[in-house]
Amino acid sequence: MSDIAITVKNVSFSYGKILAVDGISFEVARGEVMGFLGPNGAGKSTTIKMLTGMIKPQTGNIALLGMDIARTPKDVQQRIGVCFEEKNLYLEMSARENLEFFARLFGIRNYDAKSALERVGLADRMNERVKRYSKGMRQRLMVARALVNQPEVIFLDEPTDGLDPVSSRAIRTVIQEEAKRGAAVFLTTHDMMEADLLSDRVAFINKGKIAALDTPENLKLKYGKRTVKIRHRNNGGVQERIIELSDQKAGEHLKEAVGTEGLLTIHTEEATLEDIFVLLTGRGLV
Amino acid sequence: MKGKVSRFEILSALLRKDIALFSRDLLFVFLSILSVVSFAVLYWVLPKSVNETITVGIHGEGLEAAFERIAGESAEEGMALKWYEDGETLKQAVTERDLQVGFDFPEDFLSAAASGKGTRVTVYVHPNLPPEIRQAMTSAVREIAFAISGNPLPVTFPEEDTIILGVDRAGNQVPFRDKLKPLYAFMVLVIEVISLGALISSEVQNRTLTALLSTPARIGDILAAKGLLGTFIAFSESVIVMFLIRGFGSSPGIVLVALLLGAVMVTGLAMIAGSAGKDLMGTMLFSLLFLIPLMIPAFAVLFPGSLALWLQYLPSYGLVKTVLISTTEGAGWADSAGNLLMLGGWCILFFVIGVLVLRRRVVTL
Repeated sequence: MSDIAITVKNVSFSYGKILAVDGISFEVARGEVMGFLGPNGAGKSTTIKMLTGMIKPQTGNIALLGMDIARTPKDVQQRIGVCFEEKNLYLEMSARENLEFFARLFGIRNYDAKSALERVGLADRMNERVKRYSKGMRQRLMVARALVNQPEVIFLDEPTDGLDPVSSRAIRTVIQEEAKRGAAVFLTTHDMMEADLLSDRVAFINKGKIAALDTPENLKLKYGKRTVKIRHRNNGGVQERIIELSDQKAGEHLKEAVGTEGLLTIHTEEATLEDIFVLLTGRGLV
Repeated sequence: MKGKVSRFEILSALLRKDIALFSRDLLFVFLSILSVVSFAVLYWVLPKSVNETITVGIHGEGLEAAFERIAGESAEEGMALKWYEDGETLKQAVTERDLQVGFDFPEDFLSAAASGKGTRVTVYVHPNLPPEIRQAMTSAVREIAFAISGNPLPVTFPEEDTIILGVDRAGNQVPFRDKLKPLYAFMVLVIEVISLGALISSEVQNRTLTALLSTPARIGDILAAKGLLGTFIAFSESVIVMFLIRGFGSSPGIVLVALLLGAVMVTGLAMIAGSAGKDLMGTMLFSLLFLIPLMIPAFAVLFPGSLALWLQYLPSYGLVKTVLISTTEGAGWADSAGNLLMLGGWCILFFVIGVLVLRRRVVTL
C-alpha cells in the first residue's frame, strides 16, 4: 500500500474564460494533514470539487488512493469523507438519522451513531431534529458525517469557520485523531492559526496557482523574519528595540540589550503564516 | 471500512430517507389527508341521481281540463305542471326562483287556438336557465297549443331508436358527483406535484444533493428514488380516493392504468417544478403554471355539451376522459386504448423532461 493518498498533477479548470485552477501539482501522504490556504476566489473550492469527484479536471490527473477520480469517482467516493462549507444536513431528521442514512449509502448497516456523536459532543441530543441545532452543533455533525465510512482521505472545507472556541477545539481534536489513525486530511481554511496548529504542510493558493508549499516551520524560516523585541525604561519613558536574529551580530546586540538597566520585557517574534501569505501573494486572505 | 455498496442498498436508503422527509412535512401530510377525506365526503353528500323533471308554472283560465291529458304524458318526459291563479303570481314565482319556467296563457287562448287565430303566450324564464332550455320551452308552448286545438303537428319524427346514437341517457343522466370523479383524481395528483416538488426544491436549495453526490450514490439513484416515491405516493393516494368514491366502475384495470400513468406524469412535472423553483413559493408557482391548463379537461367534463377539440390535445385529457368513460359509460379497453396511449405518450415526455431538468440542476450545483 502506497503512503501517498492524494496525487495531483498539472490540474487546471476554467469556468468559461475564467481560469480557476491553473496547473497545480502536489501530493498528500496517509496520516498527513495538508492545509490548503487562500483567499476567496483563489481556487480552493474548485480544487476540492475536483478532488472529491464533483467535477472533472479539464487538464491533468488526480489520483486518490491510487485510483483516477475522474474515471472511477464512485469507487473513490466509497473511501473518502467530505465535510462541505455549507451545512447541507437534513434539517427535518435527527443527528442520529442523518448519520445512519449516510452510513447506509456506504453500505454500513447497524451504524453506531451514538459513539460517533459522542466523539463530537452531540450524543445527548442525537434524537433531536437538526433544525434545532446551533451553528456549532451543525458543524460538528457535519464533521461526524464526513467520518461515517472511516474514510482514508478526508476533505474538510472551512470546518471551524465562525465557530465558538469549544466547537473549534472539538473539531481540531477529531482532525488530529483521524490523522493519527492514518487518514490523509485535506483542510481548507481562512484561519492561519488553525492551519499552523493542525497542518503538517500548508499550500498557499492564489489566482489558481500554488504560491508556496511546505511545512509551516520551513515557510516561516524561509520567508519570515525572526526578531526579538526588548523594552526598557529610559529617562522616565519606555524605549523599544528590535533585534533581527538573522543579523550576524544579533548575539552581541542581545547581550548588550539584556545588560541595559531598566529592562522591562523581552519578546521573541516570528512571522505568522498570514505574514508570509501576504509577502508571497501581495494580498490578504479575505 | 465496508466493501462496495450495491445499487439496491443505495436506492433503499434514499427511499427510506425520502419517505421520512415526506411524512414529516406536516403541511402536505395534512393537505393529502384533507383532500382524500373531503373528496370522499363530497362525493357521498352530493345527490346520487339527477332530477330530470322540470316544473312548469301555468296560468290560463279554463285550461286545466285541457292540460290534464298533456300533463299525464309530459310527466314521463320530465315535465311537471303547477297552476297559478293569476299571471302576476306566476311571474313572481319565477322571479323568486320557485320555478324556472312559467307559461302565462291569455284569456282567449282556447278560442283563438280552436279557431286557428294568432294569440300571444308569455313565457317567463329564470335568467340562469340555459338558452337551449328556453328554446325548448317556447317549442313546448307551440306543441301544447297544437294539442289543445286538436290539430296535429305539421312534422313527423322517425322512431326514437333510429335517432339516438350511443347510450340513451333519458331518465338515467350521469349524476354530477360522478362527473366529478376525474376531477377528484386529478386534484389528488395536483397536491402530490406540489408536495414532491417542494421536497425536491428543498434538497436542491439546501445542497443536500451535493452531499449525496459525494458518496457512492449516483445521480441516477437519486432520480430513481424521487421518481419511485413520487409515483408511488401519487398513485396510491389517487387509488384510495377512487376506491372511496367508487371510481373504478366496471373496469378497475383501465382506471388503475390511467391513474398510474397520471402519477408518472405528475412526478415528471414535480421534478421540473422542484428544479425550477427556488423555494416553496417558487415551486408552487411553477407547479400551478403547468397544472392550471391541465385541470381544464377535468372541469370541462362537468358541463353539458361536447368538449372542444383543442381540449383533446391537453396532456391530462387522456386521464380525465378514460376515468370518465370507464366509470360512467362502462367503457372497455378498446374504447380507452386511444386515450391511454395519448396519456402514456405525454407521461413519457414529462418524465423524461423532468429527469433531464433535475439532472441538469444537480450537476450545476
